[in-house]
Parts: sequence; structure tokens; C-alpha cells
Amino acid sequence: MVVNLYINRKGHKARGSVEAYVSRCANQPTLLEAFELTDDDFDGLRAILHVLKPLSLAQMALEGDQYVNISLVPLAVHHLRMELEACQVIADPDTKADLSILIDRTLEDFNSRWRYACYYMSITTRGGRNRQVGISTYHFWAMLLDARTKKYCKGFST
Amino acid sequence: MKFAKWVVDETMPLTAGESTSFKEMIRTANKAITPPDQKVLKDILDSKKLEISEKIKAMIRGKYFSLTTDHQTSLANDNYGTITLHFINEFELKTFILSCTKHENGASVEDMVNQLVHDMHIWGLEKEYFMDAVTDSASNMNDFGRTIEGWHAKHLRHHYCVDRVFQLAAIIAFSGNASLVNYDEDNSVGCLKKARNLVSHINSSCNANEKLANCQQKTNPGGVNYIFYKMW
Repeated sequence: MVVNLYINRKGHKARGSVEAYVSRCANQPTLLEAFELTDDDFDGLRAILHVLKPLSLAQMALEGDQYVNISLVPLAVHHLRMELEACQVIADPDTKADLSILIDRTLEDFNSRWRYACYYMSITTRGGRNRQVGISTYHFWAMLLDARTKKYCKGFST
Repeated sequence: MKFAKWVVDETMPLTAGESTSFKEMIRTANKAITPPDQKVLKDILDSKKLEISEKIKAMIRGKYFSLTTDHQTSLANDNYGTITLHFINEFELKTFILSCTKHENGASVEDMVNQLVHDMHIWGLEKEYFMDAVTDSASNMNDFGRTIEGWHAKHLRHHYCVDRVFQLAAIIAFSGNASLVNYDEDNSVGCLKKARNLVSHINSSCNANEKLANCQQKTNPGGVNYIFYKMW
């Protein structure tokens, strides 16, 4: 994924080696020249990385099996929606039309899975293709029982 | 018993003890020792499995539990469904794989439900303590979740793997379908296509991989080698 193309988790930038690799190959006329990444391309990748980074961080927070993390789900969903909405505002549809469309579609897909706001429902609701929609009851119960997250419960409407 | 543990820990074939060169090596160390053959090893593993199974059954009795299920396709294109048990014992999260079963012609809802019912029966798991079944959001797993919710067990809920659902949202960016409406004028997302082509080229060629590794050593001597995702 782009995250791994552009930076690894330790933060070393891969750009230098990718550029060196492409320029080395570019000395010989190959098809690869067409794939040479320009400054604009790296700017574009940086922008996409910025959009996707919250999703990556949320996934990292929810990985692992040594501790209970179901209680983090409502907060993760809430913050992801806020981040995507912020990106939607920042992306200029006139100069970055494609990026703006990408963010719109990502947010639309996100909301179709998690609803347009986080709120408690005691029953499981289903959307397209019978898939569950929204945050499950147990996620909120876990949030209420977890000392790390229970103070945030008030922020979620019922 | 130590030999059986070594075979399991190192994922050795059960016939490891029958290898002539292995026997010679062991005899060099101690002429009195003969490694167990496949039959003896299977007996040892069976008795150990029974012993552990009884311990787990005793441990889980009367405790609330959750199950995660997943299915994967092997390199031989066979489909396997796996059910994993999770519960808390003395404030410690315990996890055990209950079964990994081959499903002919893919894992249908009926196959997965049968596997679950069989495992619950074998391991003495009761529906009234069944709290949660976590699956991915594939259509067969969705139907699987609806089926078990139909059991009307007191606490049982079906959940999707949240991590996977977040991943699905991110996949839109990499699908290539999200944008590229005006590729010539706007490069903000078109760069993904170029980057993907570059990664595909590097992944498909041993030479390209080697050249990239050399470039990485030149630009960042002694640094970490970057891994390019083959899924892209």
C-alpha cells in the first residue's frame, strides 16, 4: 500500500531510493520511464496518505490480542468521521477534483457502514445486502465499562 | 515427549523420526536413543491432545466466551474454515483454535454453521454462555451471523471485524475506480496509478527488486529495506 511505498512505520522515507531506482533505469530506454514519479506525484501521494493515515492509525490501535480494545471502536469511528470531514473541507474541488471525489466517496462509504453519526441502538440494524450498519450495542457497553473510555460516553447520543 | 514438542514447535513432518540421516545423527550423540516413528509420534500427540482438551473444557466450563471465524484459501486452492475460541480466565485473555476444517467447493453458510455446531458440541460449549461471534463482512459470513442470531441465545450477537471494515473504506482509494475523471489535468489521484504500476513492475521482477535494494543501500546505507506490498 501507499503507506509502505512512501514511508514505513519507522518513518524512513522511501522517496530517495525510488527516485534513484527510476533514474537509474531511465538511463536505458524502458517502459519504466513512463512511471517516473514527479514532484507532483509525490505531493499527490502525500495528500492521499494524509487522508488514509487516520484509518491506518485506527487499525493499528485495534490490532493485537493481548488486551481488550472493543471499547475503542465508538471513539475510533467518531474521530475517523471527523478527520474525513475535515479532509473534505480542505480538498479544493477546483484544483484537486480527483482527490475531492476520492474523499467524498470514502466518506460516503464510511457513513454507509457506520451511519452519519455515532449513537446507541439496542437492536442490530441492517443496510444494503443485509449488512450490519452502525456501532453495535456491545461496543458501547464495553466503552462504558472501560476506565479509559467511559468518560467519553456522554458525547454519544442515545 | 520432548521429541513430539520439537516436531510441533518446528513444524516438522511427522515422519521426521524415520529419516535415516536423522537417526544416524541421534545415534552419534547417544547410541541408546531411537527416535519415535510416525505411529508412536501420532499416539503421543493424540494422548497430549486429549489431555489438553480436557484441561480446556474444564477451564471454559461456566465461562462466557466469544468465537472468531475466518476462512482462507491455500496455495493448492483449497478452502479452510477456522474457528477460534476466546474467553477470560482469571483476568487473562485466553485464545484457542477449536478447528481448522477443509470445505469442499468453498465455505458455504451451512458448512460454517455445521462446523460451529460440531465444535461447540465437542468442546462442551453452551449457547447460554455464547456472547459474540466475530467474522469478516463477506456475504457468506453475513448470512452465517444472521443464522446464529436466529438461535435466540440470550447474549449472542454477531459482529464484523472492525479492523477489516476500516480496511474496506481505505480500499476505495486503491481500487482505481474512485476517480481519474480528468487524468490529464488533475494528477492528485492519478499518481496512485503510476505508483501502482511501478510497484507491480518491481514485484514482478527479481532484477528490479535487486536493483531497488542496491539503490536503497546507496541512498540510506545500513537502513531498513522497504518492503513492497505484493497485494497491490
